[in-house]
Amino acid sequence: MANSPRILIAEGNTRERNEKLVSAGARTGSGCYQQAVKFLFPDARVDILAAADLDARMPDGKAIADYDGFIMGGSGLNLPGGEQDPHICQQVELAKTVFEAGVPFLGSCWGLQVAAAASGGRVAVNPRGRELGIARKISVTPEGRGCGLFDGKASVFDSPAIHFDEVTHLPAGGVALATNGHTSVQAASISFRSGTFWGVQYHPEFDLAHMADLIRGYHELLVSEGFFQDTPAALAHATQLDVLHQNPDRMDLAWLLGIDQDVLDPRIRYREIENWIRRQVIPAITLRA
Amino acid sequence: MGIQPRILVIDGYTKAARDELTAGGATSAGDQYVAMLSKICPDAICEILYPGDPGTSVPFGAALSDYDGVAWTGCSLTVFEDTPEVNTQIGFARACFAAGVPGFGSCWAAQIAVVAAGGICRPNPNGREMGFARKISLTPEGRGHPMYDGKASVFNAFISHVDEITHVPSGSLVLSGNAFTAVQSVSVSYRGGVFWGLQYHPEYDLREMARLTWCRIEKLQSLGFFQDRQAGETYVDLLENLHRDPGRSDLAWLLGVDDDILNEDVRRAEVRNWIDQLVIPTMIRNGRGG
Repeated sequence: MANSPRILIAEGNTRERNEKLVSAGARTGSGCYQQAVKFLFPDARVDILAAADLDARMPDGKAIADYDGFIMGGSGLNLPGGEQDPHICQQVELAKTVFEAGVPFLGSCWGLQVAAAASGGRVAVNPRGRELGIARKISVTPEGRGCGLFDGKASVFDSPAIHFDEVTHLPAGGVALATNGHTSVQAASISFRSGTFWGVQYHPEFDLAHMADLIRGYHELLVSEGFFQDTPAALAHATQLDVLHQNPDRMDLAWLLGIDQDVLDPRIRYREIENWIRRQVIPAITLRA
Repeated sequence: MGIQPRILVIDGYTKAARDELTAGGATSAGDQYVAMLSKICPDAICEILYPGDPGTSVPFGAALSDYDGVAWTGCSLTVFEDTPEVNTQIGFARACFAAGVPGFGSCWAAQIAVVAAGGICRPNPNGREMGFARKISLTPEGRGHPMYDGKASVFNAFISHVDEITHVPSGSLVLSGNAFTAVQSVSVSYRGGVFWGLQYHPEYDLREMARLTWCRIEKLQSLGFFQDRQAGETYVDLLENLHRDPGRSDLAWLLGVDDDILNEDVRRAEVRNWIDQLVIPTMIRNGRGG
């Protein structure tokens, strides 16, 4: 269909890391995003770019400008200290290319950090440590309330999250759109060169099953960081998340874990992704036509 | 000698309801309130009144000016039931307003203040809000209100209620709300008096919430909060373990609670502001300013 959005999703993790995730039964980050986009817009045409791999090639020889939207999601890579890492540098360069091409740009977590770094902002290790599981009490700023990113979203909400670094300084052209007690920039827009970026520090594209997979995958690290007393506690929590994911009407579990419809209902959780497609991607298609 | 405001604490629980709670290891609501007020204002002179007990007479008129503040606890009564116990307390709330004694209270107390001033309370269609009220958000009026000086604009708090304020009377301000309960706090001005009311419970701590939950396990199980008694007992243990060892960041993270709940100074900012901004000025006006 002529008007179905063509979206390129950058996979932020390297092939090696993804092979571990997938062999353990998890989806990749780009896979989660693809699922979200297809849930919202079944006609969307989605390509995946292995942006972290040094031999990455654009799908079918296409250019960035051939897409109506570009999404960069999460990654286990870290910008602070990674300034010389080619897996990182090429993603920052890619973000600059997207800004220059003026293709609508959406990011979560790593994607927000890369977009900020590419446009002159700064990223550092979050002094409050890792934010894991549910980012709680995210508050939309007045600027965020007036930005289409949060149309139909409550002014205070929770969303899945896992990150260690944060954006500390937005570039000129950057506007903070949401915040919480753990992370001052939970969402931002950035106007840079020809492009507009909307991004969030959390992961609207993740569901509880993916969070459970990540907790299982990183349980040793998470135990060492104090989220769990031991591995059985981590695995038990991952199981709870799986049970709640499969049975979202288990109000006892939802109540125990303090998880509500912000996270359990994909129509609410995906709202920022939907708004980006409706307000940035589809108008861009129309303009081009 | 420190500042010695005289505060009357109204514990509206009946004797039987108080006994049930204390038998389960909980502290009675009045004693919790006195402990909280004394911690914030160590020389406060607190007196507890149990209007639910037969034969208890409540002070009226001039006798009320002996007090610089009236603090009301929660209660297991239902504010829109036309019973003598309820009506006595509504009448007493009106007398406090008319006497200009600043009022403060949790849960039932906010509802009593609203009803006394002409507002309406009803069962919350969302059911029981229990444990932690999450994502309470200040309204613009709340952000500018002295009760919330130093409090974040979004916070969690202890809670346990089935009724809610549906209509505030004219002269009242809605100061906060969340998705479960539209009115989480109010400032009620009526007949020259002022009452700051919270739907949530700054006086609780994790241990009190654990004991209250233990006392209500069967009811909570029937409402779907617990699949079985064992799940309820496990939850009570979880709260008590975190209370005993606040360094257990794994437990706080699991429950999704932070300093809003765990840090007494953060949790009780509203109470401290009430004492500083309403009770002490009243004490000085009453000529008891030392």
